[in-house]
Amino acid sequence: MNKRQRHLPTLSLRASLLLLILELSLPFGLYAALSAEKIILAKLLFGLITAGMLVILILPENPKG
Amino acid sequence: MPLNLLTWLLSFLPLVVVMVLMLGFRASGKRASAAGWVTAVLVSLLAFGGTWKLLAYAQVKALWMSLDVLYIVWGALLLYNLVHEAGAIQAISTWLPSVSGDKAVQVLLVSWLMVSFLQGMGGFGVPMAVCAPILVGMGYSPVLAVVMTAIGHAWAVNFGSMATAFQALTAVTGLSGAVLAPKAAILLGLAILPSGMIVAVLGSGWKGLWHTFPLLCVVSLVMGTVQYFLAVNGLWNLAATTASLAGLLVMLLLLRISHSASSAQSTSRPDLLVLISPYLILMLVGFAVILIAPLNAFLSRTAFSLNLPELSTQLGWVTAAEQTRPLHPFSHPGSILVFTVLVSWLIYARKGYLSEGAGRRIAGNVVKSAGDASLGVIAMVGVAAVMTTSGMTNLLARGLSQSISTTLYPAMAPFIGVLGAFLTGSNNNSNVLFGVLQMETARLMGLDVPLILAAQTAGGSLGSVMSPAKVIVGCSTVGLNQKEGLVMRRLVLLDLIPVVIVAAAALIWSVLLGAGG
Repeated sequence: MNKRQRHLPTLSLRASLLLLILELSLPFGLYAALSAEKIILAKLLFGLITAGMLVILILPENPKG
Repeated sequence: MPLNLLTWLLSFLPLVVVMVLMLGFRASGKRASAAGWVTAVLVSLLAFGGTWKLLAYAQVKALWMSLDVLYIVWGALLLYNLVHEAGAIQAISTWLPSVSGDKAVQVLLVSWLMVSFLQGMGGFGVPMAVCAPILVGMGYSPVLAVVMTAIGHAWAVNFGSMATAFQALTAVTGLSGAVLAPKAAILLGLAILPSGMIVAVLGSGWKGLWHTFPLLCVVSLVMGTVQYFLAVNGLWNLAATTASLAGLLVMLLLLRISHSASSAQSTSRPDLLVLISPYLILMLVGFAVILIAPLNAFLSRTAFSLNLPELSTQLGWVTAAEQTRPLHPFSHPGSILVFTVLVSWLIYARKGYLSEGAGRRIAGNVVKSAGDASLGVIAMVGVAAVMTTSGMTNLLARGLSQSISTTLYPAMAPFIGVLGAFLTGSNNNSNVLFGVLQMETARLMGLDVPLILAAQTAGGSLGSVMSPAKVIVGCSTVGLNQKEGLVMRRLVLLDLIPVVIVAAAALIWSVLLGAGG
Protein backbone atom coordinates (compact mmCIF):
# COMPACT_ATOMS: atom_id res chain seq x y z
CA MET A 1 0.00 0.00 0.00
CA ASN A 2 1.55 3.32 -1.00
CA LYS A 3 1.41 6.61 0.95
CA ARG A 4 -1.52 8.02 -0.98
CA GLN A 5 -3.55 4.84 -0.56
CA ARG A 6 -3.13 4.88 3.23
CA HIS A 7 -5.72 7.67 3.45
CA LEU A 8 -8.34 5.53 1.73
CA PRO A 9 -10.58 2.92 3.35
CA THR A 10 -9.63 -0.63 2.35
CA LEU A 11 -11.75 -2.97 0.29
CA SER A 12 -12.75 -5.57 2.86
CA LEU A 13 -14.22 -8.98 2.06
CA ARG A 14 -17.68 -7.70 2.97
CA ALA A 15 -17.28 -4.69 0.67
CA SER A 16 -16.03 -6.95 -2.14
CA LEU A 17 -19.10 -9.15 -1.76
CA LEU A 18 -21.40 -6.13 -1.80
CA LEU A 19 -19.66 -4.95 -4.96
CA LEU A 20 -20.06 -8.39 -6.50
CA ILE A 21 -23.79 -8.42 -5.76
CA LEU A 22 -24.11 -4.96 -7.33
CA GLU A 23 -22.05 -5.85 -10.41
CA LEU A 24 -24.15 -9.00 -10.86
CA SER A 25 -27.57 -7.44 -10.33
CA LEU A 26 -27.25 -3.95 -11.80
CA PRO A 27 -26.78 -5.11 -15.43
CA PHE A 28 -30.11 -6.96 -15.23
CA GLY A 29 -31.80 -3.73 -14.12
CA LEU A 30 -29.88 -1.94 -16.84
CA TYR A 31 -31.16 -4.38 -19.46
CA ALA A 32 -34.75 -3.94 -18.23
CA ALA A 33 -34.40 -0.14 -18.22
CA LEU A 34 -32.90 -0.11 -21.73
CA SER A 35 -35.62 -2.43 -23.03
CA ALA A 36 -38.32 -0.21 -21.50
CA GLU A 37 -36.49 2.88 -22.87
CA LYS A 38 -36.23 4.42 -19.39
CA ILE A 39 -33.11 6.33 -20.35
CA ILE A 40 -32.54 8.26 -17.11
CA LEU A 41 -32.76 5.07 -15.04
CA ALA A 42 -30.48 3.24 -17.49
CA LYS A 43 -27.91 6.05 -17.29
CA LEU A 44 -28.06 5.96 -13.49
CA LEU A 45 -27.55 2.19 -13.40
CA PHE A 46 -24.66 2.32 -15.87
CA GLY A 47 -23.16 5.10 -13.74
CA LEU A 48 -23.38 2.84 -10.68
CA ILE A 49 -21.69 -0.04 -12.54
CA THR A 50 -18.89 2.34 -13.57
CA ALA A 51 -18.60 3.61 -9.98
CA GLY A 52 -18.25 0.00 -8.81
CA MET A 53 -15.37 -0.58 -11.24
CA LEU A 54 -13.69 2.60 -10.06
CA VAL A 55 -14.01 1.47 -6.43
CA ILE A 56 -12.29 -1.83 -7.28
CA LEU A 57 -9.56 0.08 -9.08
CA ILE A 58 -8.95 2.85 -6.54
CA LEU A 59 -9.50 1.36 -3.10
CA PRO A 60 -6.57 -0.66 -1.76
CA GLU A 61 -7.30 -4.26 -0.90
CA ASN A 62 -7.46 -5.29 2.71
CA PRO A 63 -4.49 -7.63 3.18
CA LYS A 64 -6.42 -9.48 5.92
CA GLY A 65 -9.26 -10.18 3.50
CA MET B 1 -12.51 3.22 -38.14
CA PRO B 2 -9.33 3.61 -40.22
CA LEU B 3 -6.48 1.28 -39.40
CA ASN B 4 -3.27 3.12 -38.59
CA LEU B 5 -0.59 2.86 -35.93
CA LEU B 6 -2.37 5.25 -33.54
CA THR B 7 -5.77 3.54 -33.72
CA TRP B 8 -4.09 0.14 -33.44
CA LEU B 9 -2.14 1.22 -30.36
CA LEU B 10 -5.28 2.70 -28.81
CA SER B 11 -7.18 -0.54 -29.33
CA PHE B 12 -4.28 -2.42 -27.72
CA LEU B 13 -4.16 -0.06 -24.72
CA PRO B 14 -6.70 -1.86 -22.45
CA LEU B 15 -4.74 -5.09 -22.81
CA VAL B 16 -1.44 -3.31 -22.17
CA VAL B 17 -2.89 -1.84 -18.97
CA VAL B 18 -4.02 -5.28 -17.73
CA MET B 19 -0.71 -6.93 -18.62
CA VAL B 20 1.50 -4.18 -17.19
CA LEU B 21 -0.45 -4.07 -13.93
CA MET B 22 -0.44 -7.85 -13.49
CA LEU B 23 3.03 -8.65 -14.79
CA GLY B 24 4.88 -5.47 -13.89
CA PHE B 25 3.17 -4.30 -10.72
CA ARG B 26 1.88 -7.68 -9.50
CA ALA B 27 -1.60 -6.19 -9.16
CA SER B 28 -4.48 -8.51 -8.32
CA GLY B 29 -6.57 -9.85 -11.18
CA LYS B 30 -9.68 -7.92 -10.19
CA ARG B 31 -7.82 -4.64 -9.89
CA ALA B 32 -5.95 -5.01 -13.19
CA SER B 33 -9.17 -6.06 -14.93
CA ALA B 34 -11.05 -3.06 -13.48
CA ALA B 35 -8.27 -0.79 -14.77
CA GLY B 36 -8.54 -2.48 -18.17
CA TRP B 37 -12.32 -1.94 -18.14
CA VAL B 38 -12.03 1.77 -17.34
CA THR B 39 -9.37 2.15 -20.07
CA ALA B 40 -11.50 0.29 -22.63
CA VAL B 41 -14.53 2.48 -21.83
CA LEU B 42 -12.50 5.69 -22.13
CA VAL B 43 -10.85 4.62 -25.41
CA SER B 44 -14.24 3.60 -26.80
CA LEU B 45 -15.86 6.94 -25.85
CA LEU B 46 -12.97 9.19 -26.87
CA ALA B 47 -11.56 7.51 -29.96
CA PHE B 48 -13.89 4.81 -31.30
CA GLY B 49 -17.23 6.65 -31.29
CA GLY B 50 -18.69 4.56 -28.48
CA THR B 51 -21.91 5.82 -26.88
CA TRP B 52 -23.11 5.23 -23.33
CA LYS B 53 -25.93 3.04 -24.70
CA LEU B 54 -23.48 0.84 -26.62
CA LEU B 55 -21.33 0.51 -23.51
CA ALA B 56 -24.37 -0.27 -21.39
CA TYR B 57 -25.42 -3.10 -23.69
CA ALA B 58 -21.80 -4.29 -23.77
CA GLN B 59 -21.91 -4.61 -19.97
CA VAL B 60 -25.18 -6.55 -20.14
CA LYS B 61 -23.55 -8.89 -22.64
CA ALA B 62 -20.48 -9.17 -20.41
CA LEU B 63 -22.57 -10.12 -17.40
CA TRP B 64 -24.31 -12.84 -19.40
CA MET B 65 -20.99 -14.26 -20.59
CA SER B 66 -19.65 -14.03 -17.02
CA LEU B 67 -22.59 -15.98 -15.58
CA ASP B 68 -21.57 -18.93 -17.74
CA VAL B 69 -18.14 -18.88 -16.08
CA LEU B 70 -19.19 -17.93 -12.55
CA TYR B 71 -21.67 -20.80 -12.29
CA ILE B 72 -18.74 -23.20 -12.78
CA VAL B 73 -16.36 -21.23 -10.56
CA TRP B 74 -18.71 -21.27 -7.55
CA GLY B 75 -19.59 -24.94 -8.13
CA ALA B 76 -15.93 -25.94 -8.43
CA LEU B 77 -14.95 -24.03 -5.31
CA LEU B 78 -17.81 -25.63 -3.40
CA LEU B 79 -16.64 -29.09 -4.52
CA TYR B 80 -13.00 -28.33 -3.75
CA ASN B 81 -13.75 -27.02 -0.25
CA LEU B 82 -15.98 -30.00 0.51
CA VAL B 83 -13.33 -32.58 -0.46
CA HIS B 84 -10.69 -30.54 1.34
CA GLU B 85 -12.78 -30.43 4.52
CA ALA B 86 -13.23 -34.22 4.34
CA GLY B 87 -9.46 -34.75 3.96
CA ALA B 88 -9.52 -36.05 0.39
CA ILE B 89 -6.82 -33.69 -0.91
CA GLN B 90 -4.48 -34.82 1.82
CA ALA B 91 -5.36 -38.46 1.10
CA ILE B 92 -4.60 -38.07 -2.63
CA SER B 93 -1.32 -36.34 -1.81
CA THR B 94 -0.23 -39.25 0.37
CA TRP B 95 -1.57 -41.87 -2.04
CA LEU B 96 0.35 -40.62 -5.09
CA PRO B 97 3.76 -41.72 -3.81
CA SER B 98 2.39 -45.27 -3.66
CA VAL B 99 1.65 -45.17 -7.40
CA SER B 100 5.23 -44.16 -8.06
CA GLY B 101 7.98 -43.01 -5.75
CA ASP B 102 9.22 -40.81 -8.58
CA LYS B 103 8.35 -37.15 -8.01
CA ALA B 104 8.42 -36.40 -11.76
CA VAL B 105 5.88 -39.15 -12.44
CA GLN B 106 3.62 -37.95 -9.60
CA VAL B 107 3.63 -34.41 -10.89
CA LEU B 108 2.89 -35.60 -14.45
CA LEU B 109 -0.03 -37.68 -13.20
CA VAL B 110 -1.64 -34.67 -11.52
CA SER B 111 -0.65 -31.64 -13.57
CA TRP B 112 -0.53 -33.14 -17.04
CA LEU B 113 -2.98 -36.07 -17.14
CA MET B 114 -5.56 -35.58 -14.36
CA VAL B 115 -5.87 -31.86 -15.10
CA SER B 116 -6.38 -32.55 -18.82
CA PHE B 117 -9.01 -35.15 -18.05
CA LEU B 118 -10.88 -32.69 -15.84
CA GLN B 119 -10.84 -30.17 -18.70
CA GLY B 120 -13.28 -32.49 -20.40
CA MET B 121 -15.75 -32.01 -17.53
CA GLY B 122 -15.65 -28.22 -17.43
CA GLY B 123 -13.09 -25.62 -18.29
CA PHE B 124 -12.81 -21.98 -17.23
CA GLY B 125 -9.88 -22.70 -14.93
CA VAL B 126 -11.69 -25.37 -12.92
CA PRO B 127 -9.11 -28.11 -13.65
CA MET B 128 -6.46 -25.80 -12.25
CA ALA B 129 -8.60 -24.95 -9.22
CA VAL B 130 -9.05 -28.69 -8.52
CA CYS B 131 -5.50 -29.96 -9.19
CA ALA B 132 -3.33 -27.10 -7.92
CA PRO B 133 -4.20 -27.77 -4.24
CA ILE B 134 -3.16 -31.43 -4.67
CA LEU B 135 0.27 -30.26 -5.84
CA VAL B 136 0.49 -27.87 -2.89
CA GLY B 137 -0.31 -30.87 -0.68
CA MET B 138 2.64 -32.65 -2.33
CA GLY B 139 4.93 -29.83 -1.24
CA TYR B 140 5.00 -27.51 -4.27
CA SER B 141 4.65 -23.76 -3.91
CA PRO B 142 1.19 -22.40 -4.79
CA VAL B 143 2.62 -20.33 -7.67
CA LEU B 144 4.36 -23.34 -9.21
CA ALA B 145 1.27 -25.49 -8.67
CA VAL B 146 -0.94 -23.11 -10.67
CA VAL B 147 1.69 -22.66 -13.41
CA MET B 148 2.18 -26.43 -13.84
CA THR B 149 -1.53 -27.24 -13.97
CA ALA B 150 -2.14 -24.38 -16.41
CA ILE B 151 0.51 -25.51 -18.89
CA GLY B 152 -0.27 -29.20 -18.39
CA HIS B 153 -3.81 -28.98 -19.75
CA ALA B 154 -3.45 -26.19 -22.33
CA TRP B 155 -3.49 -28.70 -25.21
CA ALA B 156 -6.85 -30.14 -24.05
CA VAL B 157 -8.90 -26.93 -24.00
CA ASN B 158 -10.03 -26.94 -27.64
CA PHE B 159 -11.47 -30.48 -27.67
CA GLY B 160 -12.20 -30.44 -23.91
CA SER B 161 -15.34 -29.05 -22.27
CA MET B 162 -17.39 -30.96 -24.82
CA ALA B 163 -15.39 -29.25 -27.59
CA THR B 164 -17.45 -26.07 -27.17
CA ALA B 165 -14.56 -23.97 -28.52
CA PHE B 166 -14.22 -26.17 -31.59
CA GLN B 167 -17.97 -26.17 -32.17
CA ALA B 168 -18.01 -22.37 -31.88
CA LEU B 169 -15.39 -22.26 -34.64
CA THR B 170 -17.49 -24.44 -36.92
CA ALA B 171 -20.58 -22.34 -36.14
CA VAL B 172 -19.04 -18.93 -36.89
CA THR B 173 -17.14 -20.02 -40.01
CA GLY B 174 -19.84 -22.28 -41.44
CA LEU B 175 -17.21 -24.97 -42.15
CA SER B 176 -17.90 -28.52 -41.07
CA GLY B 177 -16.11 -30.16 -38.18
CA ALA B 178 -14.89 -32.86 -40.55
CA VAL B 179 -12.97 -30.22 -42.52
CA LEU B 180 -11.48 -28.47 -39.50
CA ALA B 181 -10.85 -31.34 -37.07
CA PRO B 182 -7.86 -33.14 -38.67
CA LYS B 183 -5.53 -30.14 -38.79
CA ALA B 184 -6.67 -28.82 -35.41
CA ALA B 185 -6.04 -32.26 -33.85
CA ILE B 186 -2.56 -32.46 -35.39
CA LEU B 187 -1.48 -28.97 -34.33
CA LEU B 188 -2.76 -29.51 -30.79
CA GLY B 189 -1.25 -32.99 -30.75
CA LEU B 190 2.14 -31.37 -31.33
CA ALA B 191 1.67 -29.34 -28.13
CA ILE B 192 1.09 -32.38 -25.89
CA LEU B 193 4.74 -33.44 -25.51
CA PRO B 194 6.12 -29.92 -24.88
CA SER B 195 3.41 -29.33 -22.25
CA GLY B 196 4.41 -32.52 -20.44
CA MET B 197 8.11 -31.70 -20.74
CA ILE B 198 7.64 -28.24 -19.22
CA VAL B 199 5.65 -29.75 -16.35
CA ALA B 200 8.37 -32.37 -15.75
CA VAL B 201 11.13 -29.73 -15.69
CA LEU B 202 9.16 -27.45 -13.36
CA GLY B 203 8.22 -30.34 -11.08
CA SER B 204 11.52 -32.17 -10.79
CA GLY B 205 14.17 -30.36 -12.81
CA TRP B 206 16.04 -31.41 -15.96
CA LYS B 207 17.00 -34.67 -14.30
CA GLY B 208 13.33 -35.49 -13.86
CA LEU B 209 12.65 -34.70 -17.50
CA TRP B 210 15.57 -36.87 -18.63
CA HIS B 211 14.45 -40.05 -16.92
CA THR B 212 10.73 -39.60 -17.68
CA PHE B 213 11.34 -38.65 -21.32
CA PRO B 214 10.62 -42.12 -22.81
CA LEU B 215 7.41 -42.30 -20.73
CA LEU B 216 6.45 -38.79 -21.85
CA CYS B 217 7.01 -39.70 -25.51
CA VAL B 218 4.89 -42.87 -25.34
CA VAL B 219 2.01 -41.22 -23.42
CA SER B 220 2.07 -38.15 -25.69
CA LEU B 221 1.92 -40.36 -28.77
CA VAL B 222 -1.03 -42.28 -27.32
CA MET B 223 -2.92 -39.11 -26.37
CA GLY B 224 -2.21 -37.38 -29.68
CA THR B 225 -3.28 -40.45 -31.68
CA VAL B 226 -6.47 -41.03 -29.67
CA GLN B 227 -7.42 -37.35 -29.90
CA TYR B 228 -6.77 -37.35 -33.66
CA PHE B 229 -8.81 -40.45 -34.42
CA LEU B 230 -11.75 -39.39 -32.28
CA ALA B 231 -11.72 -35.86 -33.75
CA VAL B 232 -11.59 -36.99 -37.39
CA ASN B 233 -14.37 -39.50 -36.76
CA GLY B 234 -16.80 -36.87 -35.52
CA LEU B 235 -16.31 -37.58 -31.81
CA TRP B 236 -14.56 -34.28 -31.13
CA ASN B 237 -16.78 -33.76 -28.06
CA LEU B 238 -14.92 -36.53 -26.29
CA ALA B 239 -11.54 -36.29 -28.02
CA ALA B 240 -9.51 -34.57 -25.29
CA THR B 241 -11.20 -36.33 -22.37
CA THR B 242 -10.78 -39.78 -23.85
CA ALA B 243 -7.22 -38.99 -24.95
CA SER B 244 -6.19 -37.93 -21.45
CA LEU B 245 -7.96 -40.94 -19.92
CA ALA B 246 -6.07 -43.20 -22.35
CA GLY B 247 -2.84 -41.43 -21.42
CA LEU B 248 -3.55 -41.90 -17.72
CA LEU B 249 -4.24 -45.61 -18.16
CA VAL B 250 -1.17 -46.16 -20.34
CA MET B 251 1.05 -44.38 -17.84
CA LEU B 252 -0.29 -46.46 -14.94
CA LEU B 253 0.19 -49.62 -17.02
CA LEU B 254 3.77 -48.69 -17.93
CA LEU B 255 4.52 -47.92 -14.29
CA ARG B 256 3.20 -51.31 -13.27
CA ILE B 257 5.26 -53.03 -15.96
CA SER B 258 8.41 -51.20 -14.92
CA HIS B 259 7.73 -52.24 -11.30
CA SER B 260 7.92 -48.66 -10.13
CA ALA B 261 4.78 -49.19 -8.14
CA SER B 262 6.09 -52.21 -6.28
CA SER B 263 9.23 -50.40 -5.23
CA ALA B 264 7.22 -47.67 -3.57
CA GLN B 265 5.58 -48.11 -0.18
CA SER B 266 1.82 -48.19 -0.17
CA THR B 267 0.62 -45.32 1.98
CA SER B 268 -2.94 -45.04 0.75
CA ARG B 269 -5.81 -44.94 3.22
CA PRO B 270 -8.23 -47.86 3.04
CA ASP B 271 -11.12 -45.41 2.58
CA LEU B 272 -9.43 -43.57 -0.30
CA LEU B 273 -12.12 -44.61 -2.76
CA VAL B 274 -14.85 -43.07 -0.60
CA LEU B 275 -12.79 -39.93 -0.11
CA ILE B 276 -12.26 -39.42 -3.83
CA SER B 277 -15.83 -40.47 -4.68
CA PRO B 278 -16.83 -36.85 -5.51
CA TYR B 279 -14.45 -36.93 -8.50
CA LEU B 280 -15.84 -40.28 -9.62
CA ILE B 281 -19.39 -38.95 -9.25
CA LEU B 282 -18.39 -35.83 -11.19
CA MET B 283 -17.12 -37.98 -14.08
CA LEU B 284 -20.15 -40.24 -13.98
CA VAL B 285 -22.68 -37.41 -13.91
CA GLY B 286 -20.68 -35.42 -16.46
CA PHE B 287 -20.61 -38.28 -18.95
CA ALA B 288 -24.26 -39.15 -18.27
CA VAL B 289 -25.45 -35.60 -19.00
CA ILE B 290 -23.27 -35.42 -22.11
CA LEU B 291 -23.84 -38.88 -23.59
CA ILE B 292 -27.42 -39.80 -22.64
CA ALA B 293 -29.28 -37.75 -25.23
CA PRO B 294 -32.80 -37.95 -23.67
CA LEU B 295 -31.40 -36.90 -20.27
CA ASN B 296 -29.51 -34.03 -21.88
CA ALA B 297 -32.59 -32.95 -23.81
CA PHE B 298 -34.73 -33.08 -20.65
CA LEU B 299 -32.25 -31.07 -18.58
CA SER B 300 -31.70 -28.58 -21.39
CA ARG B 301 -35.40 -27.78 -21.69
CA THR B 302 -35.05 -24.85 -19.32
CA ALA B 303 -32.99 -22.13 -20.94
CA PHE B 304 -32.58 -18.39 -20.59
CA SER B 305 -31.16 -15.87 -23.02
CA LEU B 306 -31.30 -12.15 -23.72
CA ASN B 307 -32.12 -10.37 -26.96
CA LEU B 308 -29.66 -7.62 -27.75
CA PRO B 309 -30.43 -4.99 -30.42
CA GLU B 310 -28.15 -3.92 -33.25
CA LEU B 311 -25.47 -1.62 -31.88
CA SER B 312 -23.37 0.89 -33.76
CA THR B 313 -20.66 3.34 -32.87
CA GLN B 314 -20.72 6.94 -34.12
CA LEU B 315 -17.94 5.94 -36.51
CA GLY B 316 -20.09 3.27 -38.14
CA TRP B 317 -18.88 0.00 -36.57
CA VAL B 318 -21.98 -2.21 -36.38
CA THR B 319 -22.59 -5.19 -34.11
CA ALA B 320 -25.57 -7.14 -35.43
CA ALA B 321 -28.63 -7.80 -33.26
CA GLU B 322 -28.20 -11.10 -31.48
CA GLN B 323 -29.62 -13.49 -28.96
CA THR B 324 -27.11 -14.30 -26.25
CA ARG B 325 -25.90 -17.87 -25.82
CA PRO B 326 -28.65 -19.67 -23.88
CA LEU B 327 -27.89 -20.49 -20.27
CA HIS B 328 -29.15 -23.99 -19.38
CA PRO B 329 -29.27 -23.98 -15.57
CA PHE B 330 -29.79 -27.77 -15.24
CA SER B 331 -27.42 -29.17 -17.88
CA HIS B 332 -24.69 -26.57 -17.43
CA PRO B 333 -21.32 -27.86 -16.11
CA GLY B 334 -21.96 -25.72 -13.03
CA SER B 335 -25.12 -27.67 -12.24
CA ILE B 336 -23.18 -30.95 -12.64
CA LEU B 337 -20.75 -29.66 -10.02
CA VAL B 338 -23.56 -28.59 -7.68
CA PHE B 339 -25.29 -31.98 -8.04
CA THR B 340 -21.97 -33.72 -7.34
CA VAL B 341 -21.53 -31.60 -4.22
CA LEU B 342 -25.00 -32.52 -2.93
CA VAL B 343 -24.48 -36.27 -3.41
CA SER B 344 -20.91 -36.15 -2.05
CA TRP B 345 -22.04 -34.17 0.99
CA LEU B 346 -24.55 -36.92 1.81
CA ILE B 347 -21.87 -39.61 1.42
CA TYR B 348 -19.34 -37.74 3.56
CA ALA B 349 -21.95 -36.91 6.23
CA ARG B 350 -23.04 -40.55 6.39
CA LYS B 351 -19.42 -41.68 6.77
CA GLY B 352 -18.80 -39.05 9.44
CA TYR B 353 -16.06 -37.22 7.50
CA LEU B 354 -17.51 -33.78 8.13
CA SER B 355 -16.87 -32.45 11.62
CA GLU B 356 -19.03 -29.92 13.46
CA GLY B 357 -19.18 -26.53 11.79
CA ALA B 358 -18.01 -27.95 8.44
CA GLY B 359 -20.85 -26.29 6.54
CA ARG B 360 -19.99 -22.87 7.94
CA ARG B 361 -16.28 -23.31 7.20
CA ILE B 362 -16.93 -24.50 3.65
CA ALA B 363 -19.35 -21.64 2.94
CA GLY B 364 -16.90 -19.10 4.40
CA ASN B 365 -13.99 -20.37 2.32
CA VAL B 366 -16.08 -20.47 -0.87
CA VAL B 367 -17.30 -16.91 -0.41
CA LYS B 368 -13.79 -15.69 0.40
CA SER B 369 -12.20 -17.31 -2.68
CA ALA B 370 -15.01 -16.86 -5.16
CA GLY B 371 -15.81 -13.24 -4.31
CA ASP B 372 -12.54 -11.80 -5.56
CA ALA B 373 -12.33 -14.23 -8.49
CA SER B 374 -15.85 -13.34 -9.62
CA LEU B 375 -15.20 -9.59 -9.62
CA GLY B 376 -12.06 -10.17 -11.70
CA VAL B 377 -13.92 -12.33 -14.20
CA ILE B 378 -16.79 -9.82 -14.58
CA ALA B 379 -14.37 -6.93 -15.17
CA MET B 380 -12.18 -8.87 -17.64
CA VAL B 381 -15.12 -10.16 -19.65
CA GLY B 382 -16.38 -6.55 -19.57
CA VAL B 383 -13.12 -5.43 -21.21
CA ALA B 384 -13.66 -7.98 -23.98
CA ALA B 385 -17.30 -6.96 -24.52
CA VAL B 386 -16.50 -3.22 -24.68
CA MET B 387 -13.60 -3.83 -27.10
CA THR B 388 -15.67 -6.09 -29.35
CA THR B 389 -18.77 -3.87 -29.58
CA SER B 390 -16.59 -0.79 -30.18
CA GLY B 391 -14.68 -2.41 -33.05
CA MET B 392 -11.38 -2.35 -31.18
CA THR B 393 -10.87 -6.11 -31.24
CA ASN B 394 -11.49 -6.28 -34.99
CA LEU B 395 -9.04 -3.45 -35.60
CA LEU B 396 -6.45 -5.12 -33.42
CA ALA B 397 -6.65 -8.39 -35.37
CA ARG B 398 -6.76 -6.61 -38.74
CA GLY B 399 -3.60 -4.74 -37.81
CA LEU B 400 -1.85 -7.97 -36.87
CA SER B 401 -2.89 -9.75 -40.05
CA GLN B 402 -2.03 -6.84 -42.38
CA SER B 403 1.37 -6.19 -40.87
CA ILE B 404 2.68 -9.57 -41.88
CA SER B 405 3.47 -11.20 -45.22
CA THR B 406 1.43 -14.00 -46.73
CA THR B 407 4.23 -16.51 -46.20
CA LEU B 408 4.57 -15.71 -42.50
CA TYR B 409 0.86 -15.32 -41.74
CA PRO B 410 0.34 -19.02 -40.73
CA ALA B 411 2.86 -18.41 -37.94
CA MET B 412 0.92 -15.33 -36.83
CA ALA B 413 -2.49 -17.06 -36.82
CA PRO B 414 -1.98 -18.91 -33.48
CA PHE B 415 -0.94 -15.65 -31.81
CA ILE B 416 -4.20 -14.02 -32.88
CA GLY B 417 -5.94 -16.99 -31.24
CA VAL B 418 -3.82 -16.41 -28.13
CA LEU B 419 -4.77 -12.73 -28.11
CA GLY B 420 -8.50 -13.50 -28.23
CA ALA B 421 -8.22 -16.12 -25.51
CA PHE B 422 -6.04 -13.93 -23.29
CA LEU B 423 -8.54 -11.13 -23.61
CA THR B 424 -11.70 -13.13 -23.01
CA GLY B 425 -10.37 -16.01 -20.90
CA SER B 426 -11.87 -18.49 -23.31
CA ASN B 427 -10.84 -20.47 -26.41
CA ASN B 428 -14.51 -20.46 -27.33
CA ASN B 429 -14.79 -16.65 -27.27
CA SER B 430 -11.49 -16.30 -29.12
CA ASN B 431 -12.91 -18.41 -31.94
CA VAL B 432 -16.12 -16.37 -31.95
CA LEU B 433 -14.12 -13.13 -32.06
CA PHE B 434 -11.52 -14.03 -34.66
CA GLY B 435 -12.76 -17.14 -36.49
CA VAL B 436 -14.34 -15.27 -39.40
CA LEU B 437 -11.54 -12.71 -39.57
CA GLN B 438 -8.93 -15.48 -39.83
CA MET B 439 -10.97 -17.29 -42.49
CA GLU B 440 -11.41 -14.14 -44.60
CA THR B 441 -7.72 -13.24 -44.28
CA ALA B 442 -6.68 -16.77 -45.29
CA ARG B 443 -8.95 -16.62 -48.35
CA LEU B 444 -7.64 -13.19 -49.40
CA MET B 445 -4.06 -14.38 -49.03
CA GLY B 446 -4.73 -17.65 -50.84
CA LEU B 447 -3.76 -19.71 -47.79
CA ASP B 448 -5.21 -23.05 -46.71
CA VAL B 449 -8.32 -22.04 -44.70
CA PRO B 450 -8.63 -25.17 -42.48
CA LEU B 451 -4.93 -24.84 -41.55
CA ILE B 452 -5.27 -21.18 -40.55
CA LEU B 453 -8.42 -21.91 -38.55
CA ALA B 454 -6.69 -24.87 -36.91
CA ALA B 455 -3.85 -22.54 -35.94
CA GLN B 456 -6.40 -20.03 -34.58
CA THR B 457 -8.12 -22.55 -32.31
CA ALA B 458 -4.84 -24.18 -31.27
CA GLY B 459 -3.54 -20.75 -30.26
CA GLY B 460 -6.80 -20.06 -28.43
CA SER B 461 -6.54 -23.36 -26.59
CA LEU B 462 -2.94 -22.80 -25.50
CA GLY B 463 -3.40 -19.10 -24.79
CA SER B 464 -6.57 -19.38 -22.73
CA VAL B 465 -4.74 -20.87 -19.74
CA MET B 466 -2.65 -17.73 -19.27
CA SER B 467 -5.60 -15.35 -19.43
CA PRO B 468 -6.21 -13.32 -16.27
CA ALA B 469 -9.77 -14.67 -16.02
CA LYS B 470 -8.54 -18.29 -15.82
CA VAL B 471 -5.52 -17.55 -13.66
CA ILE B 472 -7.79 -15.81 -11.14
CA VAL B 473 -9.89 -18.99 -10.88
CA GLY B 474 -6.80 -21.21 -10.68
CA CYS B 475 -5.34 -19.10 -7.89
CA SER B 476 -8.55 -19.08 -5.86
CA THR B 477 -8.00 -22.50 -4.25
CA VAL B 478 -4.34 -22.17 -3.27
CA GLY B 479 -4.48 -18.95 -1.26
CA LEU B 480 -3.14 -16.75 -4.06
CA ASN B 481 -6.07 -14.34 -4.15
CA GLN B 482 -4.81 -10.86 -5.02
CA LYS B 483 -1.43 -12.36 -6.01
CA GLU B 484 -2.31 -13.55 -9.50
CA GLY B 485 0.41 -11.34 -11.00
CA LEU B 486 3.05 -13.64 -9.49
CA VAL B 487 1.61 -16.56 -11.43
CA MET B 488 1.19 -14.58 -14.65
CA ARG B 489 4.86 -13.58 -14.61
CA ARG B 490 6.03 -17.20 -14.68
CA LEU B 491 3.22 -18.55 -16.77
CA VAL B 492 3.23 -16.26 -19.80
CA LEU B 493 6.74 -17.00 -21.05
CA LEU B 494 6.53 -20.74 -20.41
CA ASP B 495 3.13 -21.07 -22.05
CA LEU B 496 4.42 -19.33 -25.16
CA ILE B 497 6.77 -22.29 -25.81
CA PRO B 498 4.03 -24.64 -27.08
CA VAL B 499 2.45 -21.69 -28.94
CA VAL B 500 5.74 -21.06 -30.77
CA ILE B 501 5.97 -24.77 -31.63
CA VAL B 502 2.44 -24.73 -33.06
CA ALA B 503 3.21 -21.51 -34.97
CA ALA B 504 6.36 -23.04 -36.48
CA ALA B 505 4.45 -26.19 -37.42
CA ALA B 506 1.69 -24.14 -39.08
CA LEU B 507 4.31 -22.17 -41.03
CA ILE B 508 6.16 -25.27 -42.23
CA TRP B 509 2.89 -27.01 -43.09
CA SER B 510 1.71 -24.01 -45.08
CA VAL B 511 4.98 -23.84 -47.00
CA LEU B 512 4.73 -27.58 -47.73
CA LEU B 513 1.20 -27.08 -49.03
CA GLY B 514 2.67 -24.49 -51.36
CA ALA B 515 0.15 -21.86 -50.38
CA GLY B 516 2.54 -19.24 -49.22
CA GLY B 517 4.49 -18.62 -52.37
